[in-house]
Amino acid sequence: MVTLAMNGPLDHWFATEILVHEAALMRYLRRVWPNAADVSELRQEAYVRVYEGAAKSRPGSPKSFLFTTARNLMVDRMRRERIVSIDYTQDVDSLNVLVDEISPEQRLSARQELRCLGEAFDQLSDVVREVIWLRRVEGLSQREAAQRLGIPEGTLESHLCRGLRSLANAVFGNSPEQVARGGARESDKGTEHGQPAD
Amino acid sequence: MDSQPIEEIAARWVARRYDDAWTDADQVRLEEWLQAATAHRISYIRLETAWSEAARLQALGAGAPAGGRQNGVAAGEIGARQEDGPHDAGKRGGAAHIGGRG
Repeated sequence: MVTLAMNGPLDHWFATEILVHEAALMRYLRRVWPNAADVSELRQEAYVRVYEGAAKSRPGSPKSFLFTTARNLMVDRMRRERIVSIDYTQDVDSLNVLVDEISPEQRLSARQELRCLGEAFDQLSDVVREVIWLRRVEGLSQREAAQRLGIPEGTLESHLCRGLRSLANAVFGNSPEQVARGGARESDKGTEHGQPAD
Repeated sequence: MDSQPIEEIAARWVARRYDDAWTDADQVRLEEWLQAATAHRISYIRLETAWSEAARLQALGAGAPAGGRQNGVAAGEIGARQEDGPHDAGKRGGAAHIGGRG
């Protein structure tokens, strides 16, 4: 496995205890927030608050902390932006109910995660897919990959960035239900939280 | 706060961080950028973790054929490379490597 540039235990904690709940978080935000266009931004803002909160004191239950943070963030926004539809208190109540409803623990198994990744990869455009493959799997440098494909390095980097962002959304944002819908089922208990096989 | 431009920049950092051309000076600049805002840091962590996960694509390529890989020229190439087996794929990578330097 590659050595990541992340610093220290807090970054690692964030990756392993918070990012793994992104699918549930996105589902929650999409369900309760009226404007779908804000959802990615809300997610980022919740992450920032969680990270900064955890820097002071690591929460005992990271998932609860994430969802509570997201909920409080939305309440703050409702107040600030006066998205008071008809009954403000009712809106806030609906946030509470849905946290419990959506929060059951459903992490993907290692094989489901792999399938998510594969499906996301297949959905990339041909050139983006090839760029990801050459850089990440074959281990070519940007320059080498650009030469291989006969495109400028800057273009190659843009393709790589687009692909990486799509894969991130797939890796973190996919829910188990979405994966189950996409293909065959597997019983691979005991392989949860598997590390990349390299 | 719009997370899109930050995510775009974070993706570029990850792309360069794992490239041969990465230097100590780049590392210093990356660390400055990460320190500048928590939003930078979390975007970076997220994309770097995805980059790490993407290593597993190799396992997929070597395994059962996936639907999308049958579409298009690039997809066909990837499929063909896999069918050649890992050793041959390595050789081709190596050849491109040398060519790139020459």
